[in-house]
Amino acid sequence: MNAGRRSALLSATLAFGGCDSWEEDSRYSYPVFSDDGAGIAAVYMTFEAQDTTTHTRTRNHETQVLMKEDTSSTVPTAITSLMLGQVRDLFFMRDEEYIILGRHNDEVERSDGSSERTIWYDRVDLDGTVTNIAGGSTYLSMLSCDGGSSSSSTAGPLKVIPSPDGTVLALFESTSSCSERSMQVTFLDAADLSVLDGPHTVPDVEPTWSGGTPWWATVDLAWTAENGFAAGFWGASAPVDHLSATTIEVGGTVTEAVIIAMDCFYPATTSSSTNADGDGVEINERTGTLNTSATSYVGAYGCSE
Amino acid sequence: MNRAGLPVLMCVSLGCAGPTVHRGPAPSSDLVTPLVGGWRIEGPTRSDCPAGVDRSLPRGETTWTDRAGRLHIASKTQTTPAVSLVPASDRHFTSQTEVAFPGCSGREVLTLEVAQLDRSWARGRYVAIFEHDGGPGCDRLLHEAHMTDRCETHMEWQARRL
Repeated sequence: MNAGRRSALLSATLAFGGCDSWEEDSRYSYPVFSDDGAGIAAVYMTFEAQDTTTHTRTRNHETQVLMKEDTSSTVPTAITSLMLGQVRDLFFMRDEEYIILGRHNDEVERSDGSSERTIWYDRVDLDGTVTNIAGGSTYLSMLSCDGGSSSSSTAGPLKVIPSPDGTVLALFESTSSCSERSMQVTFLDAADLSVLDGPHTVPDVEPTWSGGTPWWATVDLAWTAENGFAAGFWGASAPVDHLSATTIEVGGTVTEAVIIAMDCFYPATTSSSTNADGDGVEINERTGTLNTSATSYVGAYGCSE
Repeated sequence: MNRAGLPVLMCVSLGCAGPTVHRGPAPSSDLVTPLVGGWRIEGPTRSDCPAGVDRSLPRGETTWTDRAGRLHIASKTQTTPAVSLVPASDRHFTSQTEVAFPGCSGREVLTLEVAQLDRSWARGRYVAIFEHDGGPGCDRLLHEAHMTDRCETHMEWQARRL
C-alpha cells in the first residue's frame, strides 16, 4: 500500500450497509424556480440504495412533485403521490399554473449492447392533477454499434420543454440506430395539449466515425428569446463557444445552420435552478429545506451576448 | 449479467467480514476551482466491466464542486453515482480506492484528464480501472460477476458549461 495515501478501516456495517442488501432510502432533489421567480418546485424521491464501498448504487426510484408559491426556506408541499421513475426534467410555469415533470426508470441493457429505459412526461396542475403528455414506453437511451464494447447517449430521445411564457410546449422526439437518426419537434398548446404546429423534422448533421462506428452529434435544446425553438449540434464547425443550430418558429419556418452562443442553450427556458436575477436555489436532500443565494453555478435564461 | 459489485461479492463470500479500505491520494491543491460549475457531459464510452463494477463518468447535466480540494462530479438527476477526484497535476485528477479481504484484494483507480478547458467548453479522457489479485477470496467475483482480473472503462468526454 502507498504509505502516503489516506487510509481508513471501515467496519462491515459501515462499508456494506447490511451485506449485499438494498436499503430503502429517500431524498429531496431538483429544486427549480418558477418562470416568474416567485415560487419553487422540487421533487421527493424514494429508492433502494446499495453501498459498494467505492460508490452507492440506486434503483427502483419513485418521484413525488413538491411545490410552493414563495421562495422561503420551508419545505415545499407535496402535490402528487409517488410515481414510478426518477426525475429527468422539472419546469414550474406558475403564470400558466402547471408543472412539467419528466421521469425515467432504471436503464436496462439490451442483447445488442445498447440500453433502454421507460420515459414519461406529464403536466401537473397546481392542484396535483397529472396528465400524461408523452412517453410511458421504452426508448433507446444508449446506442452501441459494436455489440456493447462502446456506447454513447442518444439525442433526447424524448423531451418536453415549455416556452418562456408557458403557453406552448415543445415536444422533441428522436430515434437512433447505427445507420440513421431522425428527430422531430411538435408544438403543443400547454393548456389542452392539442397540437398547434408540426411535427417538424429537424435536419441532422453528419455523424463522426470511429472504428466503423457512427457517433451522432450531441444535441442541445432550448427556447430562443424570439419564441422559437432551437436544436444545437455539438462539434458542427461552429465558432468557439457557439453551436450550429436548427431553429423552428411556432407556425413558422425551419432554418438550418444558425450560429448560436452556447450559453443560450442553458437554461432551456425561464424555469430552472437559476432565476432571472442569477440567484440559485438548492435543497437539503435530507430535510427538504431550501436555500436561495446570489451565487449560482449556472446562468439565467437567455444569452449573454 | 450479475450486477453485484466486488466488495459486496467479497462480503458475501466471507460472511460479511470487514474489508480494509484505503483511499488516496489526499487533496493537495486548488486546481479544482477553474472547473467548478455546471457542465453537460457527453461522449463515447468503451467498457469491458460488468455493470456492477462499471464506474462511468456521470453524463448529462452535472455539477462540479470543490469539496475540500476534491473535484466532486455529480449528476443533476443523480442517475449515475458521483465521482470524487483529487488533483494529480494541472491536467489530471485521480482517485484510488483499495479494498482488501483475507484472500483477495481489489483496487479501483479513476483518472480524469482535462485536455482542453475554455470558457464554455472542455474535453478530455476519463479512465476507470478495476482490478483484483485473483486470490482465493475472489472466486465469487470471478464466477458470479463474470469479471476477469481487470476491467476498464474509457470515455472520451466533452462538456459544455451550463
